[in-house]
Amino acid sequence: MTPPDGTAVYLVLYVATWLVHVALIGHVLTGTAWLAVRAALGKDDDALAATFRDRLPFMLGAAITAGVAPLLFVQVLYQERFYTANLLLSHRWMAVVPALIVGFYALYAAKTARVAAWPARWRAAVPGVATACFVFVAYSWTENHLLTLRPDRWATMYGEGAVVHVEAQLVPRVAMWLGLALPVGATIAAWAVRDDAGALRQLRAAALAGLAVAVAAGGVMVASWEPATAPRRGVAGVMLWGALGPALVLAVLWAVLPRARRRRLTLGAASFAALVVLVHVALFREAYRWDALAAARPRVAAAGGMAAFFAVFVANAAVIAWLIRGARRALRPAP
Amino acid sequence: MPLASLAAALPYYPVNDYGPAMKGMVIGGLGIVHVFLAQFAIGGGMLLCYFQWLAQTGREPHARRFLDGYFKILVLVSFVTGALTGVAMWFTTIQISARTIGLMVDEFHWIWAIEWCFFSLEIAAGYTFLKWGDRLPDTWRLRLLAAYALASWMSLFWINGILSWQLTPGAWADGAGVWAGLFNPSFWPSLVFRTTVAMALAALAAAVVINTMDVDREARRRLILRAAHLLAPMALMPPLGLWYLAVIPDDSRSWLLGGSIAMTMFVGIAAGASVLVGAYAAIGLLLRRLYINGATATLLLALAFGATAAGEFVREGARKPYTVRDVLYSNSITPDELAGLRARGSVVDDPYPLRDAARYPTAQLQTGAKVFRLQCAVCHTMRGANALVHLAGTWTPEQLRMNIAKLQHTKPFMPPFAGPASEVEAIAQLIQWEVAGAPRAWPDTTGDAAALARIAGWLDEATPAGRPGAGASDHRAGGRP
Ligand code: HEC
Ligand code: HEM
Repeated sequence: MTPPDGTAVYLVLYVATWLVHVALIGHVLTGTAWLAVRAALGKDDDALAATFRDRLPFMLGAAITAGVAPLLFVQVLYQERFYTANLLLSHRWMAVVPALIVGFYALYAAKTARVAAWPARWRAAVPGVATACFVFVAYSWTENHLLTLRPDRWATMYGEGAVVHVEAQLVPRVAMWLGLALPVGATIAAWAVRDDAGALRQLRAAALAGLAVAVAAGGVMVASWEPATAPRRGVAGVMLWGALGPALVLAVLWAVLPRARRRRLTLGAASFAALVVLVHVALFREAYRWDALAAARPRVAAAGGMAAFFAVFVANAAVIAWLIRGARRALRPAP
Repeated sequence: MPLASLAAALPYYPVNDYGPAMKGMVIGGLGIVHVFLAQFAIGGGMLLCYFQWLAQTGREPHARRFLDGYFKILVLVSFVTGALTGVAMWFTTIQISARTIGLMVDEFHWIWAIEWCFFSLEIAAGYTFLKWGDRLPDTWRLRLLAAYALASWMSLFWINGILSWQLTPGAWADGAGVWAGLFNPSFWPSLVFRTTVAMALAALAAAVVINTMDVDREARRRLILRAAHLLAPMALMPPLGLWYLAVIPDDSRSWLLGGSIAMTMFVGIAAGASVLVGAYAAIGLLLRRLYINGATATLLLALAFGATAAGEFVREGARKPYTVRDVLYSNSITPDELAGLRARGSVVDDPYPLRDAARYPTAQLQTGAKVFRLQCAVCHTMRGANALVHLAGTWTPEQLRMNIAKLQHTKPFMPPFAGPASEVEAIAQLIQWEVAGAPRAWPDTTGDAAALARIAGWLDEATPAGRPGAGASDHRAGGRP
C-alpha cells in the first residue's frame, strides 16, 4: 500500500493532525458528559468537576482549531468526495455550526456563578445540552465520512432530496467513536487529578465502560459492512483489530491506576497505550478508504509554500512554548 | 456505478436549491458576520496592546480595568463565534462553489496551513492571557497581547492574499507560482485597507464597552479619546480606496463606478457610511475632544457594520463573471472547457437527476432545467431574487435565443454560454414556459433546424471557435498591463 503520487506528505499531516483533533474531542466529550451526569446526581462540586468546568471551553477551542488542519488536508486528498457529501447533506451538514456555537456557549455558561447556583436538574441541563450538541456533531462527521465513500448512492440521494445518509455501519461507527472518547478523555483528564485516588476511581469506571462499548461497537461495525463498501476491508480490518492489543493494555493500566504506587509512570504508559489505539483507528480509517485516494491533482503537485509552512510551524511552536513557559514562570501566586 | 464526476475534467457537483434566495446572498450574509468579527478581533488585539502600554507606563489609570473587561468580550465573541464562523466559512464556500474553493485549496493549501499556524498562536496567546493575565507582571502581559495581536493580524495577512488573488491573480496567471499569486497587485492596498477597518471597528466597539464601565464620566471620556486614536488611520481610506481601484481590472472598476447599478450603490453605501464615521471621529473626537455616549457609539458601530457589509458585497460582486479572474467563471466552468462543452453539451454528463423532473412536460424543458441549474443558478433564480422570468419575461423567443447565446455581451458580468445551440434553445424554451405559467402542454422545438442554425451563428459570433472565452477579451486583458 504505497500512497498514490504526491499524496504521502498530505496523508501524514492529515493523520497526525486528525489524531490531535480526536484526542482533544475525546477530552471535551468526556468532560461535558461527565459534568452533565455528575450535576444530575448533585455531585458536581468536587475537584474533578471543577477541573472540567474550568478547562472545557479552552479544550473545545483547541479541538476545533486542531480540526481545521485535517479539514484543510481532507480537501487536498479527497476533494470531490468531501465536497459532494457536504453538498448532498446540505442544510443538515450546515447544522453542525449552530450546534457547535450552542455547545461552546453552554460550556462557558457552565462556568458562571449564576449557573452554579441553580438547582441540580437545571445545572445538569447546561452541559447536557452541550453533550447533545457534540454527539450530534460526531454523528454528522461520521455520516459525512461514510457518504464520501458511497458514490453509488449519490445520484439517488440527490434525486430523492434526502438530507440524511443511512447505512448499516453508521450507528455502530458513531458508538465506537463515542465509546473511544471516554478512555482517551479520561486519560487526558487523569493528569490533572493524578494525586486524587478517588477521582481516578471515578474516571476508571468511565474509561473501562467506554473501552468496552468501543470494542463491541467496532465488532458490530465490521459485521455490518455492506458489499458495496471498500474493497480494502481486509487491511482495514487488520488495522482495527490491531487496536485490540493496546486497548487491552490500556484497560489493565486503568484498572490498576488508582492504587498504582508509581502513578506518573502508570499514567504515562496508559497515555502511550491510548495513543497507540488512536494511531490504529486513524490508520484503519485511511485503509478503509484507500481506493478512494487518487494521485494528487497537477495543481496540488505543483503548489509552492511547503518549506515556508514547515518553517512557520516550527517558529510558531517555539513562540507558543516560550510564551507559555515564560508566563508560567512569571506567574504570581493566586490571591 | 462510478460517477462521471470522478473522472471528467469538469466535476459535476450536486446543486442545491435555496428557494427564492440566491446562493451569493447566503455566503454574503455569513461572510459579512465572519469578516466583521474577524476584523474586530484583529483591531481588538492592537487596541489591547495600546491600552496595556498606557496602563503600565502610568499614562491612564483606568486603562487596565477597561482592558480586562474588553478582553473578556473579545474572547467570548470573537474566539467563539469568530473561530466557528471560520469553520462555517469553509462549509459555506463549499456549498456555494465547491469548484472555486477546491481550486483555491489546490493552489494555496500551504498558505492556509501557514495561516493555521498563526491561528493556533492567536488562540494560545489569547487563552494564556485570559487564564493568567491578572497574575502576570506587565512585561508578560504586554508580550502575550503583542503575540495575540500580531498573530491575528498575520492570519489577515495570508487570507487577504488568497482573497485578493481571486480578483487580481497578476503574474500568477502567467505561471509565476504561488508567491506571485499571494503578493498579487491588490494585496497591499487591500491589506492596509482592511487593517484600518479593523482598527476602526475595535475603537468603536471600545467606545460601546467603555460606556458600560462603572467609572466617572471624566474617566470614561479620557478612555474613549484614547481608543479614538485607532480611528485616525481612517484618514488613509480614500487614498487606499483609489489605489485599490487603480489595480483592479478595468471592467470590475467600471462595475463599481456606475457600470452596475447595484454595485455602484454598494460602493456608495460603504463610502458614505465610512465618511460619516470618519467625520464624526475627526470633528467630534480628535479635534473637539467630545464625549461619545453609548447610543452614539452603538450607532457608529452599526454604521461601520453597514460599511463592512457593503464592502463585502462589492468584493464578491466585482469579480463577476469570474470567481477566479480569467481562470474560473462564476458558474464553475473554466474558459478552457468552453470549446469542449460547446461540442458535447454541458449537461449530458451530469449524473444528478432533476428533483422535479415530473414538473416538465418535455425532455427539452428538462434539459433546459439542467442547463439552468449548472450555468445560471449561481446568480439567478427562476422566480425569486434576480429572477429570469422577470428579467426576460417580455422578450420575444428570438431575443431570448440571441441574448442567451451571446450571454457575455448581453451583460458583461455574465460568463459566456457553455453549450451547443440545442441547450440555448432548451433554456430559452424553459424561460418562456415558466413565463407562461408552466402549462401542462408545451411544444418541443428540438427539431427546429433553422432556429438552431441561427443560434449556432450567434454562439460563434460571441465566442469565436478555437478561442474559448475570446468573446470576453475586452475585459480579460483588463488590469494586466
Ligand atoms: C456571474 C453571475 C451570472 C451568471 C452565471 C448568469 N447571469 Fe444572467 N445576469 C447576471 C446579472 C448580475 C444580471 C443583471 C441583472 C440586472 O440587471 O438586474 C443578469 C441579467 C440576465 C438577463 C437579463 C439581461 C438584460 O439585458 O436585462 C438574462 C436574460 C440573463 N441574465 C440570463 C442568464 C442565463 C440564461 C444564464 C445561464 C446560462 C445566466 N444569465 C447566467 C448574472 C449572471
Ligand atoms: C464537538 C465537536 C466535534 C466532534 C465531537 C467531532 C468528532 C469527530 C469524529 C467522531 C470524527 C470521525 C468521523 C469518522 O471517521 O467516522 C471526526 C472527523 C473529523 N473532524 Fe471532527 N468533531 C468535532 C468538531 C470538528 C470541527 C469544528 C472540525 C473542523 C474545524 C472538525 C474536523 C474534522 C475532520 C476534518 C475530520 C475528518 C473527516 C474525514 O476525513 O472524513 N471536527 N470528528
